[in-house]
Amino acid sequence: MTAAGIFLTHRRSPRIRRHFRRLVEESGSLVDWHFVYSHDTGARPTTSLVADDPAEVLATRHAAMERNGGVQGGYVDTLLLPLLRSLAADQLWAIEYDVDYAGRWSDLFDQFADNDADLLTTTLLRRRDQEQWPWWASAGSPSWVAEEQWLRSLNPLMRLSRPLVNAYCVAMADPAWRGHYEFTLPTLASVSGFVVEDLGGDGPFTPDARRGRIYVGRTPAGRPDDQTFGFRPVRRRYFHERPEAFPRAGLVYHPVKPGVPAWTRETMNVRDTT
Amino acid sequence: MTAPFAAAAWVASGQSPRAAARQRYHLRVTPQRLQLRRTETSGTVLDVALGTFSARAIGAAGACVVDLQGAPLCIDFTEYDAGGAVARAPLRRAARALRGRRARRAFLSAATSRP
Repeated sequence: MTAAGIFLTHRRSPRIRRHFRRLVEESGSLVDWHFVYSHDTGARPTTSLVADDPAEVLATRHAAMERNGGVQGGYVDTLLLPLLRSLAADQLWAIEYDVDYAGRWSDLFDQFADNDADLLTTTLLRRRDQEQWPWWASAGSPSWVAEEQWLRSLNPLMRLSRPLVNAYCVAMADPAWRGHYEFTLPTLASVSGFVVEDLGGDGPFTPDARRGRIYVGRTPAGRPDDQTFGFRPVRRRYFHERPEAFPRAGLVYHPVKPGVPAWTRETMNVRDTT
Repeated sequence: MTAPFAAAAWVASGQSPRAAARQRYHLRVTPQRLQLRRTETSGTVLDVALGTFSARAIGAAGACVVDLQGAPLCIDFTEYDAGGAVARAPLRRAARALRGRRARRAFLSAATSRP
């Protein structure tokens, strides 16, 4: 199995570059990383990858993204999926610049090299596990998908198989799919019979062998006090800059905002025009 | 009444996706619906009503485009060698093209008829 990945950032800075270099160097041959700079709110970022046009690959979602005013707030799939589809590998990783690992990156990716799940992501929860998730309100699915089957996830770090990338792009042609891609992606994967696993944590999709490992995040019981991967708390320095700020080794952390304002529902990371 | 149709096909979103982007699906047209199921697990990926899309042949033998309200899916009934390559032997290539065209014709007839 070969693995490649996209490192996505909406800001460029020497600190983020150093973070990317550590990721590349420490991943070694486990993952072939590509730097992707999202310079505006659209779905066509700056990158050396040659990909098909997002307006064709995910036409329905792309139109919804444009009505939304950009990828922020649930449409990053229109940017990511065409790029993932262009990678020549079996396992396709996506990581955002504000994800960090308290350890050597190869120690993380080595654990998943032989894993054959189609979707590995975080905070995989059923609707009944988190009724108050704000994005259920905008979700919609075709009639052959029951609402009891709806899932949500948190995808700053995720891995998809090539068949899942294809199936997602095909399925989303149906305009009955609506809403945040943290709903559409795990739900489609699950109802179509793909193998869906939580990277770790302590949720309903966490395999026993990884329970309590990889990260600490929201569970059906709520938000744990020692959460490392979620919406908050915000860390301001990367692991390579201040390792002592990462209390538990061997876990992934999110968000780390190196001189970047934290995401809020009001600003939604809309890019600076300066 | 629309004639039922079932066959395996290579499918990818877009009008002319790269070969590497295609995956194999079981495609079925019933009197009411177009359904795509995964070949490995038969999990449903797409299930839409006839009449909600248009379909037309495109240049490559066996290939057509289904347009779901502005979202194109390329469906190719052509058989390929491992890795998505076309057959190198001319006779085999011609035979595959013929079978692909026949399947495409049957699909377009089933998918664009109205119940």
